[in-house]
Amino acid sequence: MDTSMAQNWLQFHSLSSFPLLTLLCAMPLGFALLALAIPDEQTSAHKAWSFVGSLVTLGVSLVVLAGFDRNAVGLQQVDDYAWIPTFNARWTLGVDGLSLPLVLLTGLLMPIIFAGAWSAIDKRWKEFSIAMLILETGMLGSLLAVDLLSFYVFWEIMLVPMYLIVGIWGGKDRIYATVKFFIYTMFGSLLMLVAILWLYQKSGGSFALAQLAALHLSDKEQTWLFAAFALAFLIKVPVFPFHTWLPDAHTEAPTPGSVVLAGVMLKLGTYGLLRFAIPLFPSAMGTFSPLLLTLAVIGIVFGALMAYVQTDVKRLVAYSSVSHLGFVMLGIVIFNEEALQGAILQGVNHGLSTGALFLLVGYVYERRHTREIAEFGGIAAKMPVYAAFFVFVTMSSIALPLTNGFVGEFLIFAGSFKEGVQAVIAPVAEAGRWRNTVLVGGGIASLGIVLGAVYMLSMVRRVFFGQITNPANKALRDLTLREKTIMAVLAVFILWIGVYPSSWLNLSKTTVHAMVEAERPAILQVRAPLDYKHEAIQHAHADR
Amino acid sequence: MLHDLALITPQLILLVAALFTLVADPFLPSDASRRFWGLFGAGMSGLAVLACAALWKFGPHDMATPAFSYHLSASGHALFFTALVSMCALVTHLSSPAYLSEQGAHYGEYYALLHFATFGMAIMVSAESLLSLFIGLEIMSMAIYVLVAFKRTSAASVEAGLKYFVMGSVASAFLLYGIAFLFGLSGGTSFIEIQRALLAPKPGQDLWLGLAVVLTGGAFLFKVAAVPMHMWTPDAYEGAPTPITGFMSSAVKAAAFGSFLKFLYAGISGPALASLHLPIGQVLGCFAVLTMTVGNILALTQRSIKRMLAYSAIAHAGYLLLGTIATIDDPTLGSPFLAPTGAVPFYLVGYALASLAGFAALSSLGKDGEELTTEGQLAGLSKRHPIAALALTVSVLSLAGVPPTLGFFGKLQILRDVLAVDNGKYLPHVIILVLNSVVSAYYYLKVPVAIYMRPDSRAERVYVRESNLTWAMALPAFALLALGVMPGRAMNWASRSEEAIRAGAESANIAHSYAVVKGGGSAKGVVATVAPAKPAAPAVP
Repeated sequence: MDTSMAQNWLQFHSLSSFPLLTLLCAMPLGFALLALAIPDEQTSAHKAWSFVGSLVTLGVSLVVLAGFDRNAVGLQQVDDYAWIPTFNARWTLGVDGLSLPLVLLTGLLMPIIFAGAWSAIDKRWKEFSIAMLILETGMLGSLLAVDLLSFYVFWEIMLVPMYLIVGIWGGKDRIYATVKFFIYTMFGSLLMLVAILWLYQKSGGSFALAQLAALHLSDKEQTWLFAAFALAFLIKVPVFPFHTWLPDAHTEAPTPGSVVLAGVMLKLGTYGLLRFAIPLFPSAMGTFSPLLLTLAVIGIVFGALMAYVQTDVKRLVAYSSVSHLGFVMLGIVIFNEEALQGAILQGVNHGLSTGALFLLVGYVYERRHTREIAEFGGIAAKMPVYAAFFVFVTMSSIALPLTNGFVGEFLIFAGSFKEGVQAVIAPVAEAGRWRNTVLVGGGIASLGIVLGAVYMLSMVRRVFFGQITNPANKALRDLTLREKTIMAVLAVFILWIGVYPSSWLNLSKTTVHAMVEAERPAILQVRAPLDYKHEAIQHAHADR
Repeated sequence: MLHDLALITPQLILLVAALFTLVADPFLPSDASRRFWGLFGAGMSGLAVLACAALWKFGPHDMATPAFSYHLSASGHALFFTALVSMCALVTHLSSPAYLSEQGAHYGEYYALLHFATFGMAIMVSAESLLSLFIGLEIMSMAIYVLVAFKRTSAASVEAGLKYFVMGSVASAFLLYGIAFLFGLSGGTSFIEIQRALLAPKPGQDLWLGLAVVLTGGAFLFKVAAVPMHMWTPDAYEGAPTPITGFMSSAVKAAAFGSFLKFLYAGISGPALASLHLPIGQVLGCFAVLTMTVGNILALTQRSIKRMLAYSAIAHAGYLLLGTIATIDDPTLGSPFLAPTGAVPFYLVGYALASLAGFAALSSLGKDGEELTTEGQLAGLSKRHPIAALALTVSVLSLAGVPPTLGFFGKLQILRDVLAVDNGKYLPHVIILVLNSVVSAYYYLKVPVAIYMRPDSRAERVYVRESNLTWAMALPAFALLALGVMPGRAMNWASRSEEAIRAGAESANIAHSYAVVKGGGSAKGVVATVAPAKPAAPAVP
């Protein structure tokens, strides 16, 4: 296999003459540094300043979108500078169809988060806005960096602000939750650092992704290095059984923290798998596929069951994240075009709908200072607009057609069954095991959709409908204009993706195609050798 | 002679500062007027740093050639470490006056002793012979013993000083005994003479050489606080005046590692040592792993931040010991030669800055003879003294190795270099180091948790606010972040420092003669990489 051709999706397609991506990364940081100059007491100035900062960043990300060529393979608008000469570490930022949707999602969510925080955060606004903006720099940098050292640095930069956000503005058990979050994540990422350094040695001193992906590694090396990378990313996603930090962190985090955690940070785990772990170690991915598939399916069902038994709405939404990210993982493990498109889109969807759910839970928490389901009941009568939005977002979360969730999950399942169904049409003795795993796993995973409807709808029923039994709920106010606007923006995107997904799918289409072409053979070769031959023959026919 | 003196300008500046302080102190009787010594000391230390920089940039070409009859040199290594310890002294001078007068122990001798200690370190790291190394070490140690016990009315401080003195003296005795054996073997004390002697092994020398290595090595391990020679550290660190704790964990550690590297590389390495088949790399590896693990585990349970940082200093000694493997585990043992990267010197910069920032911030807590350093007493610091809060947080994040602080790159470089030795021979050590970092994150996080997240429980709490002290914590903290974003320059300096030790060893013609002695096979690889040796060293007098 000619590696240089096969992995051209990691090569630079276009260098940019103006360091636009660096600017995009640095923009939030710049606003954070300037926020230092605003006195602590001027809370409203901080609110306005951080909101403006995130809006400007959104603007820059739209400029990136405008310059993005949907039909080009490879990294675009690349900024490539020498950074630490002693290490031969470079400052390399690039964007492609894999990262762009998430960059846009980050850009979009941050102003919403800041606007939502106006009432959710009641102390130390200066520190809050600075931490949040630095966090945005970390997230954007992790999404754009294609040099492993700069990626790692950004990846770790995300850790400290999030740790502070949960620890300072969080709930009762915030310190336990935030320390757990920090230690878990750091454990995973440090082992990844060792793996990165190992690759660096092997390559004779380079951190450049494309160069490292072309390395020839022994099977044993691939397996261990993939394990080290995957552990870091699986903890971040989180995949069962590495998920235990998530319910704590989500529940204790303040609303803006939960939104950014669910909205963007979890997706960095799946993004990392696709961007780094799989292209670096494709055949190890083949080896690990059955295990990852099993974990993803367990995550879907387990998350859903756990969500069903929660009494705290926020914890319920947190466990639903475990379930939803299971679908994304399923799409990634299947690794064909449909499933990958679905996984990338579902990442965005989850950011929108779970972000919206956390905001909604936050709204009612600000009014009642409780999130226990039993405390509510019948509040639709008092808060009709709120209830309408909540039900709408619930529909998106349980993947009703015409909402975004449907498109994503449909694509993932389409991909899974395409991968598995050939087992029924053309049973092949050897290849059967992987396909059967996919079929069984996909079947169980589709149960997860039903379970999703069960836990979400039963929660909605208990919170919103029936008679108002708790007198404390009688005085509830409906949403304010600010809250309505935030929800409306999210609702527009939920509908947009649901009704006309092509505008989003087209962003990543070319990249996904090139990616599958480059990486799938090596994966398939290991996990289903006969299928690999079969597909190779088909490709040969198609080429003719 | 004049040429020789020019090479030790930084040391002379420090010496003059010390003597001047002693002589002029009686003329500054009041507590307030003694604050002048803080500024004066900072200025003189700064001048020493500048002198190092000037020599580094404009010094004569033969700087690395040992001066004073093969006792001292101004090699890149010496200059780097002299500048580093002088920088530590600068910050300590800034942070001391406010703390001392708050603690009721403000005397002029303190500043003189600090200068003497720095002077001793500067001699120690510039040493080209075991004799000057020992003299430097003793000048430093004597001054530090007294400084640790400087809070005369505090029992803890006096006990710490005594403990440190007794144990330190034993270590010095070991070192001296080992030096005696080396002198007996080689007939000289300079590194070059020892190298020459080891190149022509005498029959039956193995036992004495082995004994010398064990004795001197043990003394150095004591000085860097490696387990199991670490017992003095927590008490000495906790009892000492806080600025001195900072000085010990930054400058003393830097000087100890600086001379240890020089000693390992230029002093005792060589074919004779190789013929002993002492697995120095493995032995150091064991000490490193033991040191970092024990240090981190004991740090977990500490309530006083000062004591916790003392145990963390032990853990960092472990990381550094592992880093020394990358430096030394090649030329004599025949494994591939790496380009010198200066992992250990570079790590020491990050570690020193973090210690200085952290202990300067701790120096500002407490009033009237009382220190407020437990976790609970830090609660609410973020509101009362935001700069100290931020400095302390940056400091512990750097110690934990979280990017984008300098501590991260220090650790990164050690990991990279150790991993490169013999195609990952030390991979298990590297993984243990990484796991240790996770453990350490747990206790380091207690500090930001206390500072930012715990509610301010007590109504009355006092902090010293003084501009010099604030600078002393702000400058290193800022440097940690600034160098963390652009570490390239500092890495270059550090690697030049390491190049200098290697060049020193080359000029003694070790590599060349080694190939001759051992001949053939694996040695050829070494020659091939080291061969562009400088012209042979001038004849030994």
